[in-house]
Amino acid sequence: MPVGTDDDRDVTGTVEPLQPGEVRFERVTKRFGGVTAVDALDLDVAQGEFLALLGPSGCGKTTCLRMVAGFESPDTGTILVGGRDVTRVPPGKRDVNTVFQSYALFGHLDVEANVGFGLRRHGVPAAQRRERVAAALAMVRLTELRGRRPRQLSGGQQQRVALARALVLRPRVLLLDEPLAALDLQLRKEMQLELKALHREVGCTFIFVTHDQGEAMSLADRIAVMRDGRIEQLDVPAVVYDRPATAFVAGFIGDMNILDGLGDGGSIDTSAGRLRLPVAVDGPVTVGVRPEAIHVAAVAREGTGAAVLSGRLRSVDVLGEALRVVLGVGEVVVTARRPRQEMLTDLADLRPGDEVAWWFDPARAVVHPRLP
Amino acid sequence: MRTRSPAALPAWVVVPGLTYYALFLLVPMVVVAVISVGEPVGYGGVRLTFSIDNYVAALDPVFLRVFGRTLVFALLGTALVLVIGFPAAYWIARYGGSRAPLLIGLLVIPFWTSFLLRTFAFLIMFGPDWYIVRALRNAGFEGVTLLGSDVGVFVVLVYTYLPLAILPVYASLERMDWRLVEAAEDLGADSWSAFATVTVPSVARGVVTGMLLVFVPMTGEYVVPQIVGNGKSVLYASLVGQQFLSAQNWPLGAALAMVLIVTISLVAVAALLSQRRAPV
Repeated sequence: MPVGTDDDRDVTGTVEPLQPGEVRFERVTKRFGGVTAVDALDLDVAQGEFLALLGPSGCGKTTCLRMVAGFESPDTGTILVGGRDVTRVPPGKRDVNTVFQSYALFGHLDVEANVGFGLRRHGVPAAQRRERVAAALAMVRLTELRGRRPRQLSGGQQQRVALARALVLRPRVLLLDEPLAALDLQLRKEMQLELKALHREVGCTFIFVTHDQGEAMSLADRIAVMRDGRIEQLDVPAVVYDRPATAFVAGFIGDMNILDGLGDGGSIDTSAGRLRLPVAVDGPVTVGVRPEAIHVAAVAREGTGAAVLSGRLRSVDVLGEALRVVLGVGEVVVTARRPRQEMLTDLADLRPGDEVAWWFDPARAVVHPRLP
Repeated sequence: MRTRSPAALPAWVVVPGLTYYALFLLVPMVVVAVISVGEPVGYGGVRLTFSIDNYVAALDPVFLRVFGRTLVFALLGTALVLVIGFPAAYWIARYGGSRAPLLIGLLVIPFWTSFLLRTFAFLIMFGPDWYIVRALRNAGFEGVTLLGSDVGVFVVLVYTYLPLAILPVYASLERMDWRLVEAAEDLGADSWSAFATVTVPSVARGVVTGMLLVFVPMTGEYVVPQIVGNGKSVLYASLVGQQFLSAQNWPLGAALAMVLIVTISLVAVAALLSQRRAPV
């Protein structure tokens, strides 16, 4: 089943509707000793979806994945795969397979035997097994290396063996535990594209765990941002990025300028100045503004519709096609990301230490109650 | 890629160790080999004749029977050591956690205390008036004796060599990546087939090492049959000892020793070769 393409997702922030209920968590709680790793969690993953469980270490994302795989069982709550209650079903009998972090390939078996391992355990006849192993190896472009031992392979090749070994069983759901963490940056980017292509090709549900928000943004149809065993926000990447649901998500996803403020129902008094935003809030809040939403110039342009604030220019750095403009605003540092050509317009003739004006579209600011 | 760093130790540092070994292992072996083709002269003397007479004598059925008995002893002993040692090593490696060093210590420290002392202790423990024999007799094993019996010798041999098997097996299990077992289960293996298809091949090297460390010295065991067996449970090394010490027939003793050394070396080499192409 095809999933939404990059294009329609990036423009509208939505994917075409998928059949829900492929993987369901119902009030799932898991404790380790006194620590609640997963806290009354509800989650519904659609058939064919590519879902990222994203969060800092210790947020419960890996425990969630291991509970779907069957390596951990919840203290309370139910887990369903394809509508079937698998809460007490042993691993390997759940229509679910896992790509382990750093792969867990069998070192005493060659590539072919690694990929054929599951088929053998499931009693698939030899002829059929050979055929399916060959197809799986072709899918990940490892046919040539089928006689090698895992330690004779590069990291990327090992990763592909792990994928083939899991996918050859045609699981309903493929679980990936930090699948790219062990690879260097260049290879990681390549494997991201390969993973996406593979997902489109096989069409089953992918759930992957990562602490790398960039990876989650670029791979997933939806991202579940987790913290302390709960899901803070579950949505398509564009919405998670543009409209983070909580102050935690705002700080965790992407770069964000965070201003502490005090709302009085009409406006917000922040350390950078008084802001009039299209939200009525009272009490301690944080105001988040993405760097690319912030404009900087010597003098504010007319008709911006925004409060103009002032700051002192600290530095302008060239980051490829973009500029990073760093301002000191009172005690706070505000970072803006501007197109390179503004070097010749708004930012022309500005020197570090200069007094500058900065402003942003109020609609692009996100306001949340301050975290305790 | 260069794997040797420029600051590597010079090769001559192996010389003292190898020299020591050559001097006190290889040279005596050569001496034994030479004696084994000589003939006895007078009381404990040897004349070089380069004959195979001693080997013909050494292959006499009387000696071969003891040789076979010794191999059976060592094989059964090794098997029993593995059967009771492996689960212990497995449990300590997988579930021992912070208790593992303590448990290993409890195994090793007695092992370091005097072997002779521990063996003599069995003279008391296996004595006819001590609790073990009394309990056995009360349980209906009339007339059972442990001192001077094969069973007693066997039990003490297994006790003596148990740590030698547990330690290498533990060492390989301790390095084991348990996610491999999860991966096997994820792919449809039940606990037993995951154990057989993943755990065993991963630790095979340690198991073979442990078995060799037990099997080889068991075949040459001399002290336990002498003390616990009281000379009545004869193993092969006792025959060798007899020829040297009582019969004063050094050439025959040397030939008997060579038969054992060659056989066991072949077994050891075969066991090590079987691991060469095997898995890491």
